[in-house]
Parts: sequence; C-alpha cells; structure tokens
Amino acid sequence: MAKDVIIQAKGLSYSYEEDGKKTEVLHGVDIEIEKGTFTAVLGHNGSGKSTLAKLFNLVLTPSAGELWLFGKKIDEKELSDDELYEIRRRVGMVFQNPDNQLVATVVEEDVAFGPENLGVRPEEIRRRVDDALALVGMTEFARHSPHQLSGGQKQRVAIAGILALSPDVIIFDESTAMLDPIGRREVIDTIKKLRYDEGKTIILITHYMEEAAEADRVVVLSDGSVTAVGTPKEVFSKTELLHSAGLEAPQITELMQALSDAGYNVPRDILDVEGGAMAISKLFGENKR
Amino acid sequence: MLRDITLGQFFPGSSVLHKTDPRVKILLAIAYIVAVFLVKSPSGYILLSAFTITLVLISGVKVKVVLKGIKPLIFIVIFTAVINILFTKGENLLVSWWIINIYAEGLANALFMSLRIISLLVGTSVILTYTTSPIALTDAIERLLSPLRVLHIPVHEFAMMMTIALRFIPTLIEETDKIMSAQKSRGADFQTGKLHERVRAFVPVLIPLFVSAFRRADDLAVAMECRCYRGGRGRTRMTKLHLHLRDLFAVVVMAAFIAGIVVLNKYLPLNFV
Amino acid sequence: MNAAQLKNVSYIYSKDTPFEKTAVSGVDITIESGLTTGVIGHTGSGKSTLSQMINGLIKPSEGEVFVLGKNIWDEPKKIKQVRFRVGLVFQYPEYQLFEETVRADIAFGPKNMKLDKDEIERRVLDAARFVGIPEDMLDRSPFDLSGGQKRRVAIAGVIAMRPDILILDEPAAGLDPRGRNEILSRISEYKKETGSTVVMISHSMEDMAKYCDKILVMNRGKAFLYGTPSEIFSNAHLVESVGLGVPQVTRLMQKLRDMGYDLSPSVYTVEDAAKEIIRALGGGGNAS
Repeated sequence: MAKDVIIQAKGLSYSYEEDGKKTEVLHGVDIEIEKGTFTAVLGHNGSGKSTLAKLFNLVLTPSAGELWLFGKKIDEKELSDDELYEIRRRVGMVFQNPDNQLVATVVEEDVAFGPENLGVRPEEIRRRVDDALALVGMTEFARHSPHQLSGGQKQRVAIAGILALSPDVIIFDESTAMLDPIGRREVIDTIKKLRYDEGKTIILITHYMEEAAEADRVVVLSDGSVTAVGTPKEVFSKTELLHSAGLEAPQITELMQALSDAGYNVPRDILDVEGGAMAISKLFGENKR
Repeated sequence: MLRDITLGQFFPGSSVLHKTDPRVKILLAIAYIVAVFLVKSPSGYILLSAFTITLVLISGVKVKVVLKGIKPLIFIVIFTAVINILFTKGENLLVSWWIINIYAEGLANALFMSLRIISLLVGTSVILTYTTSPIALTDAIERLLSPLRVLHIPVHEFAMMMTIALRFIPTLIEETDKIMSAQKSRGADFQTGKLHERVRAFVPVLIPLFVSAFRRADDLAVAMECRCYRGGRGRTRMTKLHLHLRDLFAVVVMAAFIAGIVVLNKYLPLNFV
Repeated sequence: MNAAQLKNVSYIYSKDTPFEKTAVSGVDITIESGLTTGVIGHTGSGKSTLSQMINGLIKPSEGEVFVLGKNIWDEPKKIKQVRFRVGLVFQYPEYQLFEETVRADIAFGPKNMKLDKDEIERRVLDAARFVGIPEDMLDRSPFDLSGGQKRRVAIAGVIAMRPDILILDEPAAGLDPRGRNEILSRISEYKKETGSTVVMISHSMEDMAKYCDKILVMNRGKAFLYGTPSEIFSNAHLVESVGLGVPQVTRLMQKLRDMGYDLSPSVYTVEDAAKEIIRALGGGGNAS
C-alpha cells in the first residue's frame, strides 16, 4: 500500500526579525507525517518545536521551504480565506495552557464555539458537542464552568472543542507541560483513544520521554534542526544524541547502556521495566552457567 | 477573600422567573422600570410594593440575599428621604422648629422616593441578574441588539467581549490571590501604612497581573483563530431560543401590572394628603 | 535540630460555607535542619497548603507551627518576620516579576526587610550568582529574559532574603530536562554552600530520589509516609497504592526481587541500580 502522507515539510525554515536582529528558529526541516499515525516531536525549550506546530496549521508563515498539506502545496499568497480556515479546521491544535484556550463560561458552549464559527446547523452542532464530550469522557461536566475543573479536565474540554471541528490531524502543542501526573495521564489516554479508535493523525509536542514512548514515531528537534527520526526504540537508544539535544533517555535505557558499557551482554535499546527485567534475568541465568 | 465575590450575583434555581426567556426578561425589566416611574398615587405604590414582593417570593432567592443587595443603597435612600423631608413645602405643617419646617407632603414624598429606589433595584435584580446566568444575559443582549448590525454597530463583537470577560474573571481573581500571596512572602504589606503607601503596595500585584492578562489575551486570540473564529459573520449558534407559553404569560402579567398602575393613578389614588 | 515543626496541624478552606474543604488534617511532622526535604502528592493532597503554613501565609485552623523552635503565631503582628526566615517560592514564580530591572526585582524582598543599600546590593549579587544569572543581565528588564531565566530570577528574589528555610513549590514545573537539571542542581549547590534547610514540592519521584534527603508523601491532607528515600522506595507498593509513581529503576528492582533475585529493595537511581546488579552478578565486568 502506498504511503498516505498528509503533512510534508521540505526544507522548512522559519525566522523572525526583532529590533533589526534576525533570529532563525527552524532551518531546513524535512518531515513526513503519515495519515493515522502518532508522531511525537521532542525537543528542549526553544528548539523550535512549537513553531513547527504553528507552521503546520498556518498560524505562522515559513520563511523558506515547502509545506504540503493533504497532497497540495501550500502557497500562502494564493490561499483564499476560506481555504485557510478549511486547513485550520482540518489541522486542529490543542495548546499548552488549559486556561488560555477556553472561550465560554460553560463547558458545552465552549465545545460548540468551533462549529458555530463554521456556520454549522444548530442540531448538527448539538450532536457534535455531545459526541465530542462523550469521547473525552466529559459528558457529566457539560453544564459546568471551566474554572471549576482540574487542569486535565480543562485540557479534555479543549480537545473536545477541536474534535467538534472534525479535524483530520490534531497537534498537541505541549498540552501536557502544565499538568500534574494525573492530568497528563488523562490527556495521553485521550490521545491514544483518538488515534486508535477514531483514526485521527496525532502530532504530540512534548519533552516528556514516557509520553513520546507511546508514539509510533519520534522526531527529535534540536536548535531548529531535526537530529533524529525513528521508532521510540531506535531514538531512545541513542542516549548521547538525546543528551546533546537537552533530553534524557528513560532510566531503564540508561541502566541497560551502563550495564552494556560495563561489558555485560544486554540490549541497548530497552525502554520499559518488563523488557529490562527479562534482559537482566537472562544475565543472571548466563552467570550461573 | 477575593474569591468570595460573586459577580453578576446569579443564583441558580428553577423558578418561573429562571425559566423565562432571557430576551423577554430584558424587555420585562425595561417595562418594569417604566412602570415604577408611572406610579403617581399611594395606591399605585401599594401595588408596586406588592408586585415586587411577589416577584421576590416566586424567584426563590432568599429574602436575606435581597436585603443584602439593598445595603449599598441605604445611604442614597436616606439621603433622598432627608432632602425630601426638609425641602418639600406643602399645606399640612407637622413640625416647625427654628428654620426647619416639616410638612406631611414631605414625609409622603420621602416614603415614596425610598420605595421607588428600592423597588427599582430589587425588581430589576430579581427579574434579571439574580435569575439569569451572565452567559444567557449576554446572549440575549446580542440577539436583541442584532438588528443594529445593519447600522454597523459591532453587536457580536461586544457580546463576545462580554463572554470572554466573564470567562476570565474567576481566573484573574485566582491569579490575583496567588500573586498577592507571593509578594507577601517577599515581605509586601497590603494592610498597614498610609493610603498612598497602600496604593503603592499594589504595584507589585498589578504589573504581573497586567502582564499575565496580556499573555492570556495573546494565547486566546491564537486559540480562537485556530478554531476558525472570524468574527460574527456566518456564525450559527448551538442553542436556539424559543418563546414559550410562559413567556407570553409573563408579558401578560407585566401588562396587567402596568395597566393596574395607570388605572389606580386615575380612579383610585387614595391620596391622604 | 529542627528547622520547622508542625504539631497536629489542620486547615479547612472556606470554613462554615457550602464550599468547606479540608486541605490538611492532623499533620504532625518535623523538618530537620540542613536537609532537603521533598514533599510529593497529588494536586489537592495538601502539600501547597502545608508549605504556606510553614511561612505563616496560612494560619492553621488547628495545631501549632514552630519555626526554629518558636511558635510563629505567638505574636501574630510579627508574622512578616517569619516570612523572611522561611522563604517561599511559588509555582511558576516567573509570573510575579514586576520591576524594571532584574536587579530591582531581586532586591524587592531585602528592601522590604529594611536592609541598608550596601547589604541589599551584596545580597542581590550573591543570589544572582547562586541561580546562575550573570551580572550583565542584572540591568535588563526581567520581561526580556527566557522562561528559564525568569524562573531563576524569581528564585533569586527569595534567596536574597537569606531565609533559614527555603521552600520551593515545583521549581522545575514546565521546564525541559535540561532546564530541570539546571535549576535543581543550582538549588542543591545553594543548600550545600549555605547549609540552609530546603523543602521542595515536586511531582517527580525521579527528582525526589536524586535531590532529597527525606521525602514526605502527602495523601488526602494527611502525611502518608515520611522517611529517607531508601525507606520510602523500599515501600514502593505503598507509594503506588496512593496512585503515585516510583522511579522506573525502583520498579525494575522490585520486579527482579519478585522474580527471586537477591537485590536491595532501596535502589532508586540508575547509578545505584547498575552497581547493585553488577554486585549481585558477582562483581567486575563479565567477559562475554
């Protein structure tokens, strides 16, 4: 089966000028996102990962390079207003601060905000709002005020607000960074549900390795360039590359590599506790012999 | 402490008043204000008081709450009453002492003015703010004013601003609390000192608050754009407001009330002075 | 020596209203001088309330708070002095910066202490050095700095008061791994150099394991567990029973123990885990 690439960046760059000083945030980024996949974009603060997300839904305009969305090359100057908003609808975005993206004082009114902007019929909006809230498990809070909710719940409402636009791609721009572990779990579980049950294409921007470990593919950004692409296993085993990108490998991977460096025969690309226990138990077995 | 302030003073409930269409309620509130100013006779004031008290009772809002709402107005009420008592001249002199002459007409005027002020406040609060959620109110204002769009008045934008303000007030109150605690931890003092010192003490609270409000506004603007917001044009709404029989009933009651006042003014004023 | 002592403290929010909520109930703990104590727990477990009780921002509904042997509510008028002795860095402290220059912002606390000019300047420079803010940055506007730098300036503003106890509410929240390590190791340096007591609230067991001498696990307003990291992590199942995670290596060691291998239960860093496994394997490198 041919690959169905819905987002493609070719040599994408972005820079801005402030007080006559030019700052390049992204240079020459090549990325392909396939339909229905879950991609994690990892990078330190200031690596350009949020900028990349804003390029994907045309909030920012690239200074060089090509961006292809849904099989079409994007030319900002040629784009009509309707086409621009259609792309924003298809590439939904959930942001970092849960407080700063909710518009209305009642949860369901907020979820309705997107489809209302699109001019969807009231009955259809109602259906979409109910579906979206059910999907993120917030139905019982439909009539609540957002400020009564926990961080994780607010983010789930924000996700529902995007879902109501029925997007193809959802970008999570550090949507877990301000949450506590429970809130993060809620959001990640929702993301997995969207990917596996709803077939949405997911791009998760984060600096939490354990979240990236859940993805199909990991892209590492460092100082505006892509420094690694691959499965979590492939990328996380390159601990030195991660360190130089200001990131950390999972503890188990670090432990396996420490054992391997000490001369023990263990794989260097183990990410989870189960795999680690198996490998070490094998080591003990060999030792007895 | 800041958290205890409830803006708009909406008290959720399920009374007839709560259920009445917010657009109708805005119109009723206006009609009520007109009615208050139509009252010219003692009998009219009796009807007005009875009607207002009935409104309070059916709204289900606690009488204590209503009285608390009057409290800030007490000074104005007393002030108007005293002015009326002292400066109204009439025919029935009751007390005359030094340069002070108090007439029965003055006492009556004072009583009626007080009733008028209190009724205005209590009646409109019960019809509107106490029984209508801020969002329903904003929504209703937008819909009622929507014909003005033809005159290029940004009705939708105004309503959107109101909604966002209502959405962010609790967030900003919480933030103020937090910043105040943080500056207190660094020895800031908001309670003691002269007035100008106390005003100055709020600078370390206000600047971070403004900075944060601007940041939030920026974030929100981008988030709204990403959700395809492009102003009021072409927008639909999820909730449609439908007029019910009870709304018609409410209008009839209000009309009857106004008619009653007019009739009483003319045929049964019960003037006692 | 005790830096702070909480004697059976409780705190109820919005008492006597429908919104009444018990934040802390019957907590009885001693914070030891010169140690870094970590406090971990879910949002709403009472850990932030607890920290605000130690510096007198919140008065406990019940119980007593002692700082350096003195009951802080004996003289309520002098509560401000307690706040200088117990420095509290709030969550996302960069949002409280307000002055025109970094220097002036760091000086805000010392100025409120009514110190003389030279002393204030000395403290500002000292505090900036502790958090790694170079001197040429002191005359810039705090609003022009990067997120991580702002955070460090805000922490310097509290350090400049030279508190005996420094409490930090999630100092690394929202930072990337590099930023986390930078801030946390700065704090640990600061503690080493000044010998002051540090209390650190965090959601990360990995950070706790790495930087704390003692750990307090809060759950539903109660002190659930309190001990050294090895004591806490040898009870990994208890920690997990209240829904908190333990470091990945601790879980691995636990799992290997369950499989019958003779390994220490109190391992919680990668280095110690590697050492412990190599020891159990019979030491030295394995010529494979």
